[in-house]
Amino acid sequence: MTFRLERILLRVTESVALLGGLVLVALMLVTVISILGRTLFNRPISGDFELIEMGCAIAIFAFLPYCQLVRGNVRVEFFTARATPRAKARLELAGNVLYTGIAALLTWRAALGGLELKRYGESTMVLQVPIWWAFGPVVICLGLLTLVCVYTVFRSWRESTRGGARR
Amino acid sequence: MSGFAMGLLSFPLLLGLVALRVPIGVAMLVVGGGGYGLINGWLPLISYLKTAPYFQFSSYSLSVIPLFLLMGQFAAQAGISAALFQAANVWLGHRRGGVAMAAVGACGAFGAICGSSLATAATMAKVALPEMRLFNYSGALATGTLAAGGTLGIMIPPSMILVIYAILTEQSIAKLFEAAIVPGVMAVLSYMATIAIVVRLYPEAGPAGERASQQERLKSLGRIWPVLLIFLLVIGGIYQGWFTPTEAAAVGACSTGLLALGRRSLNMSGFVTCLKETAVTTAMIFLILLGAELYNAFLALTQMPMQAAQIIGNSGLPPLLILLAILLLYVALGCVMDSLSMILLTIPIFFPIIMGLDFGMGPEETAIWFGILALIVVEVGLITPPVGMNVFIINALAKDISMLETFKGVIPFLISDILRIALLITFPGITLVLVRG
Repeated sequence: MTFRLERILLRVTESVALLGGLVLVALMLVTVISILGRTLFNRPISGDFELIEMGCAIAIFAFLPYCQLVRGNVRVEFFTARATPRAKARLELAGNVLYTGIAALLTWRAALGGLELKRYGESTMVLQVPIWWAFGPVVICLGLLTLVCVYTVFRSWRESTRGGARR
Repeated sequence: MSGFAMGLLSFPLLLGLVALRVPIGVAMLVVGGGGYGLINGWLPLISYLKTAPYFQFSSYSLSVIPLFLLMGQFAAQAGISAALFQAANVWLGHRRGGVAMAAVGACGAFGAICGSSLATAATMAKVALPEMRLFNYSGALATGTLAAGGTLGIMIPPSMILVIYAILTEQSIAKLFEAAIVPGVMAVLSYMATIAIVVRLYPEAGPAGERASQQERLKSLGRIWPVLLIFLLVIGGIYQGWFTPTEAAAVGACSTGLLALGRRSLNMSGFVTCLKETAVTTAMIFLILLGAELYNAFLALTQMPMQAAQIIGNSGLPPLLILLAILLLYVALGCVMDSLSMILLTIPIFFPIIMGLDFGMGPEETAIWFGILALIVVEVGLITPPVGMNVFIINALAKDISMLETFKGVIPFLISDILRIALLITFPGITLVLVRG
């Protein structure tokens, strides 16, 4: 059952991360086109800075769940290198619980923050894009992150009872 | 409890959490958030969290990070490492230890389009290690060379660590890159000299390879000019003020991607790999950045870094001694901690201290000089036992060579690093020559 769950989560987070990656590639192209436009034809893409800021934030939030699921977040191994796999899993359980709390808090706050920005009608300077638009994908990614964190708590709990990670 | 005490106390608490396998970014968020809440109240904390994380991630200056990471991934996929190594090898391979020198040269050239040490070490090892084994190089020299050569990835601009340092300390990325060029070239040359000395002492460690014809040599250069072009475009472009660093990273990523496409070495699955790797590394860095921001906000509330800087500044200790103490502490921390987290964790405290001291230079020059010194010390941390990340990477690729042997092979390079740091401390002009222009 866990394997199936992990597979599903992997597929979902991977797709979200790849979408984020495509956003990043798109931003790269927009920037290059804007530079070419401004040097060759004296016509840059207006508001390219804003697109990059908004797109980059969305891409980064889209990367977070995948990174957590594939154990990509750096930890210091040195002091616990000699611990048994079970003890390591127990410590990681604690770390994952902390991250779950943070992810849930961030999701909740970002949802409220987005609604507030919508109410105030704040938008970007040049393109007049409402900033709260970006909060849709961001909150979805944070929600997914929370879900993944909950799963990783479960995963470390299993590893701590069955003797270590299968990596 | 006074703010100062809380600030001081937070540091061991943070290190304790980190030592217990809590991801570094998470530990910073917990300690920073807790401290912020205790000082400023919990309501301000949770209202801070409404939009601050979004606005931190949607910063134009930070967008340079994922773009440079993408560039490094494309470079690793481009298959250009083999061409670089071959080109260096036909020029140097016939000397004693020449294949290893060629590997160092190729690492330096690869570092010019890749800002990560781990990627440089891994990519170059794949092409240079078999060649060195073929010519009966000793395991220690072969793996030591690659572990040390890999650090050229961050020594030679573009450099991830310098980008992060520049953002943290609000210095110009362009000037830091410029300042890194001379020390970076020095690193390449001093590593080559190190190899020359090692093979003079132990001739059997690095036998001479084959001599290539003049024709082959010239032909080899024809295959690597795109790398030079990309480096000149990216670094020269920032330097000349044609682009912002973010734009330079986009241009670099785009041209490296095109290079990989042109060499037919980037297919769909390779592209997906690039995106996934970029995603993991970016997420890892930004989780730490998010934590560092909150932790720094808390530290600023405690006023600890400022007061500590004042106390140390007024202590009457010679500035050079304090600098040395900080650099030694970096070496020690670098032994157990990953380089990026180390910089993010310590710069907020150490940078004000350094800036409060008089080294006989202007503030900007001091900041740049210290950045380059910190960069080299961080780089040393990548190859020192027990946690030299580069050594791990190389060792995973060279299964028949023991970790101990690799660490032994690294020692001559460490000595050359120490000499180089001493030189750069004694003559700040070496670092600042290009910046002063």
